Amino acid sequence: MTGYILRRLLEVVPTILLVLTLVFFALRIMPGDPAVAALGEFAAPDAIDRFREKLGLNQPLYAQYFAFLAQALTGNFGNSMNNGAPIGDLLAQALPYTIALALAATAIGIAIGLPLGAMTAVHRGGKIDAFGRFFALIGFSLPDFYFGVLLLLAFSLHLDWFPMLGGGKGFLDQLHHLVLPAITLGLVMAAFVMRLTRSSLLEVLKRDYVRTARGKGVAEHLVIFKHALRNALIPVTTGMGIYLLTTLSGTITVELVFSRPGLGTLLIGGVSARDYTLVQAGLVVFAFFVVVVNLATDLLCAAIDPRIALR
Amino acid sequence: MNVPIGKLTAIGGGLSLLLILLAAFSPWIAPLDPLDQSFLTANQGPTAEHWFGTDAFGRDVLSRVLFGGRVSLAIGILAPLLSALAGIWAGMLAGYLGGWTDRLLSRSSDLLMSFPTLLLGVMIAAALGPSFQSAVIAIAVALFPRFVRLSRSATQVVRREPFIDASIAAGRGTASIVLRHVLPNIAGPLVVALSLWIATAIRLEAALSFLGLGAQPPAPSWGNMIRDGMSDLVGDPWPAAFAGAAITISVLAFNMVGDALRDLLDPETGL
Amino acid sequence: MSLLEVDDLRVHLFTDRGVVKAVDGVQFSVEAGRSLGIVGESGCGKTMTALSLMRLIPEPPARIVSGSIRFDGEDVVTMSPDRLRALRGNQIAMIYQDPMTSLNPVFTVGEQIAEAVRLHRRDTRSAAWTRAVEVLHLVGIPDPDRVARAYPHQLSGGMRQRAVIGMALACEPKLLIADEPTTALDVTIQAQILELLRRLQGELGTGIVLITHDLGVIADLVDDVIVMYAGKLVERAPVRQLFAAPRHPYTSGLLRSVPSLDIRERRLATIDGTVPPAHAMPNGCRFNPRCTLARDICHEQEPPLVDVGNGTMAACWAPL
Repeated sequence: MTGYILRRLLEVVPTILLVLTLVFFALRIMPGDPAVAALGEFAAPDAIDRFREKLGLNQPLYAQYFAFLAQALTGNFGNSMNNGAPIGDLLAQALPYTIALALAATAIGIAIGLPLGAMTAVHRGGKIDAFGRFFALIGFSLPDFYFGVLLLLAFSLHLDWFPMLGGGKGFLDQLHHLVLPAITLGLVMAAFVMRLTRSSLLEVLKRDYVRTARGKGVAEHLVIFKHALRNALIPVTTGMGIYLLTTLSGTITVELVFSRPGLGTLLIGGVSARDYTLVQAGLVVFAFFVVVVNLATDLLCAAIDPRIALR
Repeated sequence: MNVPIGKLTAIGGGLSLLLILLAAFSPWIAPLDPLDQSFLTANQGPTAEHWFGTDAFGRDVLSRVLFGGRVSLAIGILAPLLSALAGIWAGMLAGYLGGWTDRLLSRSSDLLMSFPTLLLGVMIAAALGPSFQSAVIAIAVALFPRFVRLSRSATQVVRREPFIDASIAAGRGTASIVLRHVLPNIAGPLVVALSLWIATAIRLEAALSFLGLGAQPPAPSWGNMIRDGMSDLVGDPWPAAFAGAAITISVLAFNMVGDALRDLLDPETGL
Repeated sequence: MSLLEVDDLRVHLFTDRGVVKAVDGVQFSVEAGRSLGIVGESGCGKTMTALSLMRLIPEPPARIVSGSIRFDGEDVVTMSPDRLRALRGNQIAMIYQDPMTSLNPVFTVGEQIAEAVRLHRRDTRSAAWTRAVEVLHLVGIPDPDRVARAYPHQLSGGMRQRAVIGMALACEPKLLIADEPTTALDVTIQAQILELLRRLQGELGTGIVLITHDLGVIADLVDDVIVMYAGKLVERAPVRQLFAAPRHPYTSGLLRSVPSLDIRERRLATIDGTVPPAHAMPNGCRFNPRCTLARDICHEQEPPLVDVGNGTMAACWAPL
């Protein structure tokens, strides 16, 4: 197991480097001169030169690349091109909101999706199964941000149960602000988790070792929840890991719907303001999340499935 | 399953076709010019004159939804097609040739795959700057590794069939074998994937243009209609509501086609 | 009263393509301390019969449509789920055919055996574990402590098969159902396992139902044999009688097809033709298309199972 963890950790290094490289070069093909974009069409040429110098844009590409790598790896992204605020601070303010939203949504997705998926598999072809089918179809077709708009309309604007905008002040208020966005992403994720759990459990229930468990005299609920579900969870865990990232990217749109502070709001704000350094930093942080979540998923799977770590 | 698969395919397929036709012929179907503003009739709910109401500029929402469909469905269908065209070839070559080609292609598509489509789309659209073209490129790139992986694994299965060896022995070239023997044999799963990914692409396009990274106003797309509608959700929720419903129905239709086709090809695994 | 009495057992598979009569009117009994062998080609319904004895058939599509399975006088077919659970793994246990898939990949072998022990005896965790190691030793595993802590995928096929056998023996069942228990094992281990089963039978009075296509194993271990063909019981006889003077043409063909040297590879090559597909069973005797002795009546009427002397029952219009 230790060997597997080490091996998996080492694999992360080239991935991170590659991702950083991609982000760097992707942004170099962004059309327009960032200095002009930041200072405006009619800025004085010497102001533009000073700006380029300050950001290192007059350096050769390889120097910029290494400077960028150093920035990304130390987490020191310099200052926003537009308002001069340290990007590190902006990210630090935004991150907790995004992480809280992604985690809350994931918790809702698992709490609803797993049991519902297990029930639909056990009562295959029954009423619960039909409901699950309908739920999945809606979940797979309703865009999360549109669902957010509908929830906002119903529960904030008309019923006034939840606050409309922002992230909230103080713990309880923040929690209050978190509810609707988290439900938005959580229910969509629940549909996915449900379908995955259902198909995985149905597959496992056909296996011989499930019959072995019954043949030992194991009670039916334990056959399902101990012997079958544990095996069914292996593909479900992988799937949820992948989906956690989908939820994370979903926070971008949902933050916009609920005018909630966060990484997505920051990134999209950076894009529309053509704040090159901010966009670069935002993309690096998202990419970093992708790598970390993939790593965590693999390690979690190894913990559930004794066969993985030995490969 | 209670509803026969053929029926679902027909409903989903018919609905998809209807949506495409409505979008394609919107200039003739739409009652009004989607860009025509009139402050006198701004922010109206559905009326006899404006079935879907009007937006903040007094523009007819029904006409905008129809014209928006042109943009949204065009991107939603064009991008996966482009992606499929490139991805299927790359995947078939990787699966057929193996070795370095395979390692290079599958490593890089694995890396791209580790990014959720929306995040990848946002990254690319952000890098390229918001426009119709960058939305197409962003979505095509986001889906590309998925086509590569699918056609690669399907090709690897076909590659082991004896008739491939027979063709090689008969002196057929790689391109000809791939085209004549591999492609027809992997077409089934690819068609299923294509229709499911059209659904994904429509959703992606909507999200991108909602974020302001897709087609630019004043030209309507479903996503930017919701974006515009957000500014006055209290006074006039109709543009956002109808645009969102249009997205949902389109995604639903293509998902139904994909699901039904998959069940048809592989009755065991379907939901 | 016999330990196990099966009467007119019928198990049907309800599939999309129609009803398959997998087991069609089988009857037999097993006394305590005795053993019964069920032989037949694959697909003849012998595994389905074995699984029915513990009601482990996959429902759906399979269902016991009629008949009774009396274990110690209680009918398994109509038994309550709770009562059934108390019997399973405790009084009736089964050795499964495929050791590669019969063990749960996410639990250690010891955990899986100890679970069976703890379910039926109010043992402590450690006592159950000790018992698990003990049965692993019993089935001839050289280092039972290590094997108990191993996951199934870390063990060879033979080791796994012995673990499956150990699991079945853990609670010293009154009736042991063994479905091809030694197929995965090499000859030496096979002999050891058969010896172990014989000892159980002698010492604890365990009744054994042994399902196999390996007639060598049958000759070695069992007292009585039933022969199944296409879901039907075609012959039932004491083992010596069956080998000495088979009465059903199918049994006779089976016996003739045993090659004398190779013990592992026994193919039923000398009976012409194959078992007809389930949905295209012939009228009359199901064996008639392959039978060299078939007469008119064999094509018209199903032969009943009747006493043909010397303790043998056969379902044939023209017994040998």
